[in-house]
Amino acid sequence: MKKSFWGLIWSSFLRVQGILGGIIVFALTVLVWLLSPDKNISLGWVLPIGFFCVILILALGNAAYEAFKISEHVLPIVLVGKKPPTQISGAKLLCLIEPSELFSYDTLVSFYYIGDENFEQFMGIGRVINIQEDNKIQVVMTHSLDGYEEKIEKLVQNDAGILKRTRVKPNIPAKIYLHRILQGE
Amino acid sequence: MDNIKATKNQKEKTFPAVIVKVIDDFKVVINRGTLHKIRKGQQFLLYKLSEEEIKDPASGESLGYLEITKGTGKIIHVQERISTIESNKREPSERRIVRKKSMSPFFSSFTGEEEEETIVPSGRLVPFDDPIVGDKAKPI
Repeated sequence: MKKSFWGLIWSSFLRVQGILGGIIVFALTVLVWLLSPDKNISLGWVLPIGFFCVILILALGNAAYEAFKISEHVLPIVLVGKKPPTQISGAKLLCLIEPSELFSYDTLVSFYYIGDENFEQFMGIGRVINIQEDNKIQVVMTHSLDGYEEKIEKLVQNDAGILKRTRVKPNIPAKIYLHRILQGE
Repeated sequence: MDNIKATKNQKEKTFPAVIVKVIDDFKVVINRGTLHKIRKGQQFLLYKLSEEEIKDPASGESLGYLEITKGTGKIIHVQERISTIESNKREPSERRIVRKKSMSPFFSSFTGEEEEETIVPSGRLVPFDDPIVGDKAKPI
C-alpha cells in the first residue's frame, strides 16, 4: 500500500524502536536530574550541539522528502515536444523525456493524455530513437489514434499545458501489438 | 607507447566518436577503431547537438542540448584508429493487395474475388540525414 510522507516517517520511527528509545532517553534524563540536580552545562556546549542537531535533522528530513517525491514519479516527465526527425518515416512527434531505466534504445512506447477527469486516454504508439549522453530519452510517435491530431500538434509546438498532461509508458497495449504482428509489421 | 596512450584515452572517454570523413550519404568514417575495441557489425547512432539549448516551456529552465539524430548504421570495416559505418536503415516494407479471380467460375459465384496481401520487403537503404565531419556517433 502506498504511504504518505508522514506515514513513512512514522513507520521509520517505529522501525528504529523510536518509542522504546524515547522512554529510555526520558528515564535517563530523569535519573541524571535526580542524581545531580544542581549540575549545569555551559551554553558554549549546548548551543553548537543543539544547532548541529537541528541542521542534521533538517537536512535528513529534506533528503527523505526529496526521495519520497522522486519515488512518486515512476514514469518520466515529458520535458519537451518537437517536430520529429525527417528520416523516421511516418513520425508525428518527438518528445524528450526524463532519464529512466525503464526505457532502452528502440523499445516500443505508448503515449497517453491525462484528460480532465484524470483518465488516461491512449493517443498512440512509437519507439525510443535515442538515449542522450545526459541520459534524457528521445521518443517518437509513429502511429496515432484519430481525434488526437490537435493535441499532437500542440505537443509539436511544445505547449506546456499539454506536455504536463502527457505520459509515455515503456509498453504498448496488447491489442495493438497483436494487430501489428498479424499485419506483419 | 602509442598503444598505452590509446588505451588510457579509451578508458577516459571512448564515446561519442566523431565523424572524420564523409564518404557519401550512406558511409562515414569515425575516429575509433580496434584500439577502442570497435567490432565489425556493431551498430551506431549518428547525431549532432542542437545549436540552441532546449528550454522547459513552463519554467524556462535550460534542459541542455538536444541530440539531433541523423540515422543508424553498422560498422563494415575496422582499422586501428578509424572505422567505416554504413547506414543500415531500410525503407519500410511495401504492402500490396492483389485481387485474384477464382479459377473456377462455379466457386467464384460464391466467393467472388479473392484478396491476397503480400508484403514486399524493401531493399533500399536510407541515407544518413546530411552527415558532416564533426557529427558524433555512439554505439546502440
